Amino acid sequence: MDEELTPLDCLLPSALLKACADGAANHLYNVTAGVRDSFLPDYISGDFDSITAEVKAFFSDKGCKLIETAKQDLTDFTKCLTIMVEEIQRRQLQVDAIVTLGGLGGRFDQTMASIETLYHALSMTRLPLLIIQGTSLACLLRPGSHRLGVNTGLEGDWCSLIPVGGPCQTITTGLKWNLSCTPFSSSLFPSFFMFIDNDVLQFGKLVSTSNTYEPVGPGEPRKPVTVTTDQPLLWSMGIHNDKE
Amino acid sequence: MDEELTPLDCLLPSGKQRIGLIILNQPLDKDYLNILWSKALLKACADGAANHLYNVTAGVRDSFLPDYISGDFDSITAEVKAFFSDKGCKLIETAKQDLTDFTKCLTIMVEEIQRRQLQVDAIVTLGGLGGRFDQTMASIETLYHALSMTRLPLLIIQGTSLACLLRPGSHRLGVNTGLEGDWCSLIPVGGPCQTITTGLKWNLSCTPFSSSLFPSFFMFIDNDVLQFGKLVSTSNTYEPVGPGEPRKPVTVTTDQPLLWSMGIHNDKE
Repeated sequence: MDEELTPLDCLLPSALLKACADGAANHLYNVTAGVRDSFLPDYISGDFDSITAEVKAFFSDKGCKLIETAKQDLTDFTKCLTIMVEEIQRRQLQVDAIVTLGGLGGRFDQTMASIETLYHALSMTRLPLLIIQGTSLACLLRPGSHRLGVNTGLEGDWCSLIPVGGPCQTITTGLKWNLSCTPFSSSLFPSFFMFIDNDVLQFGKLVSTSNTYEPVGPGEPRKPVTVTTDQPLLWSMGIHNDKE
Repeated sequence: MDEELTPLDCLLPSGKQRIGLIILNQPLDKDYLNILWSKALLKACADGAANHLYNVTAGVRDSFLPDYISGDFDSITAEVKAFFSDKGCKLIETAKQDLTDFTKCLTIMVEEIQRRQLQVDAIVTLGGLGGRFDQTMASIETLYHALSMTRLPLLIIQGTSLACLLRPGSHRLGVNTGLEGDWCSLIPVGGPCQTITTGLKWNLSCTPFSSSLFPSFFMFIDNDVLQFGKLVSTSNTYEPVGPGEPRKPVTVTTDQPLLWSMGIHNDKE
């Protein structure tokens, strides 16, 4: 059965649970000057080597939970996600996805660590985990079939499928440049068929970047993008930027 | 034989490397530009990179004329294009749609280095690790293509990050220029890599096994395998040394192409 997801649906507001990973609390504090009481996270987690004393005290006084996590071999992101998955379960919250702001910019190794967290998430929860920063969104599709709604009006003009981690046999529809397979059947054995020449996404061979959506007639809605993959496959797309 | 590389030598004023320089369409760091330009035997812009070059070199533009600007020219402005063209910079329009501006620019650079018999030690790229996430990934894909295009190391620098794809085999990385930041990483972007390292704070290793029944027989088991979903080495750092002692080189042995990434020290911080 296809996994259904409209990635940019989440930019319509309604978070049931909000958390900051360590120094993220500094950013939250800074950009919410004047309206800070409306932006109190449920918890702040991490090893607290980035959050300032001032910010920590502010949120603590307001009743936000501070959860210090000591495990050094996991990133603040992974630790924060672990707590979130547990809380969602514990409180029986009806959430459709976990959205992460930040994670795709700055230090290159930390960007890659964010992608690694997406991999860990596959075994932690069935919920989609999305990362948004700047005008980029990233989401790791688990093996199987997916239908992605791309008709919110918030989509930018690019999308991509990136086989981070290893080769992926991939079939798509709804893209301008689709990945496909060639069916083969032999006249000797009419009921036997197999797929050959599957498009295989793999670094060094084929990576789908600067792709876009299948064109549609004026006024027509975009078709969903379908993706079938045999390995976890990273979907990334642009978010429309009004400022441009 | 080990491949030797000091990745940040190209940013060291006293460094000996001569390079080919590619500038990509991303905000340009003036300090990096100045030092890399002074060591570059060949300089190129990929399409809209020329806009950035033009903008940050106001007042000294005649000292920053690229040898060529390549791409499909859908980003470079008419004004910038005319400026560089009038100054004698070659404009090379490349139409192949299935390759990125970066890959096309690199192809030309490799050809020119060959044609002119230039003695360069590395090709350095400014930009490529920021902005649109798919373009960052496309830059990494170009590093893969480069493995079959040239033996020269191809480095990408943006902000305080450097990335370089290590080909299968053994490598010795000099990390003692004084320009190194405090982090480094090994990222198995394309697939699992059996990896052995020295010189890192958290090394990847293998466990030798030998049987007393067959004393001359031994094998390595439990090699550390870097793989997304299992083990990715990020936020690593260098093996600590005593005060005043130079850092040891980092050695990396890998059976598949493996992405090395490291931080560049930022004085402004």
